[in-house]
Amino acid sequence: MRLSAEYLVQQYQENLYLASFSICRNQQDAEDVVQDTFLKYLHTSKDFESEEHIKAWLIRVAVNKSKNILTTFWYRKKESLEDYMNSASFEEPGDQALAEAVLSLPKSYRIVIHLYYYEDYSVAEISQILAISESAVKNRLLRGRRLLQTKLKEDWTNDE
Amino acid sequence: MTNRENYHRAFSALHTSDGFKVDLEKTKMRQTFRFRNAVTAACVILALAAGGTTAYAANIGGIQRTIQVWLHGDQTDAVLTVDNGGSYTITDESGENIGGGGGVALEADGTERPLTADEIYDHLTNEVTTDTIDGHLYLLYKDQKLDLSDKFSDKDAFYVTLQDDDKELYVTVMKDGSLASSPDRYMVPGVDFTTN
Repeated sequence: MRLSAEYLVQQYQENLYLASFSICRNQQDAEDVVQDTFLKYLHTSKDFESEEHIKAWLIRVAVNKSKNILTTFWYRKKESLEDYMNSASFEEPGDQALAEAVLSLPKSYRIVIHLYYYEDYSVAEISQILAISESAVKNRLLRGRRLLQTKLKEDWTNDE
Repeated sequence: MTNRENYHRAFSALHTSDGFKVDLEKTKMRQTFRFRNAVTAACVILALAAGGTTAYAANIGGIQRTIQVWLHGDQTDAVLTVDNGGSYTITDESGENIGGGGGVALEADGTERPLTADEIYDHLTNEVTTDTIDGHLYLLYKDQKLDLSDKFSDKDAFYVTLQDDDKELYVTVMKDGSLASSPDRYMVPGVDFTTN
């Protein structure tokens, strides 16, 4: 099946942005990734099984493109993460600390944590999206959670 | 509240910028130009003439496309017009000529043919160039620019690898802004190319 790009942009633009942002930690880079990911969707002739399948594919592409961005040297005038976080309108007082704690994790933990806690993906699904083993996903989740617990103390409950 | 609920709420506060909008028209336009096989199978020689004079393309029904070019330090929309003979002109939004040139492709069997519009578009959009803007030497590639001003303190050449998705390009830039590039290795000044 195929869905229109317009529909997918409306549905998943922010999901792709956040998945990318959790890796790049930069608004402009994450927006570029979103744009390029939809470009790739328009170019692919891949046939998808379901809307969920398309969403997982889009996230996988966005994750790969985000990793690529981190390996390029290009200079770009970037807004600092601190400025960006300070300009966001967090609902609750602890929200900014939580987001900052997640974004301070090692890159490989951040995306696993994000897909698990934000996208509600299972370990098996994350394993497929990131093309890593389930035990690697579990390991990164475990270590990421422990680091979050250390950073956030009582604001992060032990849910291992 | 669970960790998941807290996480959701916290990250829901982070958004794309106000002016950001996925440009599906732009992506559809780019889709038309994805013909790279002919270029990789052939050696492309393209002559660039700044402020070129080839203006006849439009008179014989040349193909026109919008292209992004670097002009005075900014990326600007321009119109690329290609004729059937492999010559092209670039004009700005007011129709003023800002560049042009032409080229041929050498096929594997040594035969020559004019570049197609796709190949010229592909070449120009993937071209690495340098420009001096406000006294600073910049390396320009697609929509990116890298200030090289402080890279030559004790040497005449600066080596840099450009990574673009799965593609790598090894670029050697000289102090005077001349450059040589290769997808395989760094070109060595005085060995692989000559400098002034």
